[in-house]
Amino acid sequence: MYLTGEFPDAASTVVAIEALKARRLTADDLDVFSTEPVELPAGILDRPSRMSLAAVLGAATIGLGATGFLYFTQHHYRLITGGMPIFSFWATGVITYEMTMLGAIAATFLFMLHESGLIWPRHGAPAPAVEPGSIVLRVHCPDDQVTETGECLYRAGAARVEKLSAPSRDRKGAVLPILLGLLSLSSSLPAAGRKPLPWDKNRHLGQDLYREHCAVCHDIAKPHDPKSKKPGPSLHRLFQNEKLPLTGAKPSRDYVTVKIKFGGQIMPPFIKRMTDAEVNAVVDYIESTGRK
Amino acid sequence: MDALRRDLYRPLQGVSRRYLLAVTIAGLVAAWGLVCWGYQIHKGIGVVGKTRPTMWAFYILNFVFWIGISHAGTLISAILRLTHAGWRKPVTRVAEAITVFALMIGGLFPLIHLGRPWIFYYLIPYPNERLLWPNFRSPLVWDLTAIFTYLTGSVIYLYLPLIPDLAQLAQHTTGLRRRLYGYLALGWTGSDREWHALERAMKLMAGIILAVAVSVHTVVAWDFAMAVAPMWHSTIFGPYFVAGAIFSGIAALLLAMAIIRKAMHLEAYLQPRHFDNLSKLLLLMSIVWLYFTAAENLTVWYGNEPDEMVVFGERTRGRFAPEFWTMIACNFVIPFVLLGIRKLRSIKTATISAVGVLIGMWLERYLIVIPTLSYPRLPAAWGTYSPTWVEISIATATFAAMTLLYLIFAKLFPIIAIWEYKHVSDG
Repeated sequence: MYLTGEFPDAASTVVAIEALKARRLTADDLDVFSTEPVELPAGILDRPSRMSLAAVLGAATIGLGATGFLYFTQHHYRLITGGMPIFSFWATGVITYEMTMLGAIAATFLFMLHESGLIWPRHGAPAPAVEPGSIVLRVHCPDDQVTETGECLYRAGAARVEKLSAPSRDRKGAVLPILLGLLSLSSSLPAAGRKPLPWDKNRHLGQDLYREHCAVCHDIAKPHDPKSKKPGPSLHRLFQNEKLPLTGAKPSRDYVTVKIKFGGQIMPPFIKRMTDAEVNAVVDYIESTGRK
Repeated sequence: MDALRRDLYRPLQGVSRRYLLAVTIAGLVAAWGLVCWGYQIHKGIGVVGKTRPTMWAFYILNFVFWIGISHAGTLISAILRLTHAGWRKPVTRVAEAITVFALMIGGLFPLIHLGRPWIFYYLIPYPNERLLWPNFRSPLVWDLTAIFTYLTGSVIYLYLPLIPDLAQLAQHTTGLRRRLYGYLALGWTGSDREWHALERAMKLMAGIILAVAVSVHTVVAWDFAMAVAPMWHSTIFGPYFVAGAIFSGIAALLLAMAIIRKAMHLEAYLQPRHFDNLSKLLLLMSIVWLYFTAAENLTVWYGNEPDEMVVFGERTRGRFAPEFWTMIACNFVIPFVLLGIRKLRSIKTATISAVGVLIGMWLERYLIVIPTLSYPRLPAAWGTYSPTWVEISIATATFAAMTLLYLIFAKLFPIIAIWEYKHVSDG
């Protein structure tokens, strides 16, 4: 499964890559897409290369091969030279030099195509469409870790996280990846009606904040249990229940919002720890869990 | 789309009347050159002026001239890339394209010179079964391999940094163009693996191409220096030619940039400081060129060897004196005054100097090829040479062909590397 996260800058991309590496994803699973090369600090996403070695080997092979061929052609023709050497070392030297360089050029070019994956696309993976200026991190993760990985991307500061369509096995032409890119571009448009993902942005933020601030005192997954050691009442199906657990009043967003902001007898106020939007996200989250 | 892309994609769209006119004129002149070549092949090499003793003439001097021009690009762009010169970004592609086209044209001249171009394969060291007279030590075989290597390298060097731009262009165009860009982009997606490989390859290629470029013009110089002819058999000919090539290459680059800036309205990208930097390079090379010319001529004059003094005398105060002193004026006096005095240095004077240097360097090739051959060591064999209309037509046509190729290139591909422009910071 391939996920993509769109990042506004290199710094947040680095945060995401480090977080994903902590989740045991390797550099092999990660790809950064951009319209201009992105400079990541050393050690973040290194791509070891054997291009220099290939250039040297290519140079040696073609250089020696060409010299051998010259030697062969010059001896092949039985010129009567009266005992003078037939193979001119110095005159051939220039050709040897040029052919050595040609070997280096050819090897560099072929290895560039190889290492970039242009001639053999990696896993036939789909490529995301990238808007100029933005950075897209593509993650190859196991199917059962999609949610966690997506959350990881959001937490690092991704503006948008999406699933990429299934890997293509077709490796025929160079045009194909471009078409794929265009397809994924069109699928990212709102009109295309993509499937809503389990981590719709606001809810994800709410869930994160809930885990950070609320979960220590309030259960949300199960109904209130008198034996629970948590000091606060369970918020399970809070908005779907007839009345609120402590006051017995009819549940309303306003009441819950005020309660979060200003706290109660035991509960601390959160007005200085969360913005209005964040409080709103938490309420959204509480509301959405009950709808399942 | 951001402003940079808008500005650089704009020249690719539509065809203006002026563009059509330029293409038509260049195309007609180039076609006339082809007709002349056909005429020469049909009638035989007798229709050209070269004859005993001047068997190397107009074609070879134009060959040397164009190979020199080809040093504009790859060499200059490789030097700027390796030294991380931040101001290189709008310059590199303009330069690299000159290299590729100048090499194509330059490489054509030996074929035209052959008279029977279909036997060009004599130059290739193939297994010889046919009892010919192969000269395995001929510098012409070096030429072939050197130019072939340089052309291959230059095309790749131009093509590699084009790939990301092509991928972007494919998304912004439709129809045939999209298919062309799509195929040429090789499925570039912009992943970091691709960027890494591209940057590494460009770094390696810059190093390799630098070594090849120096060797190419050295080999062209050795074509002359290996002959024991007066004023050719000189040890400094290799570096002398390389310096001259870089000199004329920078001039060609300056001229191309000035024309592109005006014609494509790229004033915001090809700024005065780019011209200023290149002007300084041109000035430096002008002084280097004068140094080599002085070293070459002073040695001959001081040596006072009779055979050489004949050629030297004809060049400096005899038949070829007007050309010689025009060359000195064009290659040294004009650039030294116009670019050496800071107040006079501007885009306009840089362009004037560039045109001057191109004329001067063409004359230099003329003065290297013709006088030496006209005055061989045996006075009985002395002769004169003047080009016929066929030679002049073909040589003129190559200038038109260069213009035509460049016009087509500039219509199909962004003349400034967009990704590099955005990526490379000003250093």
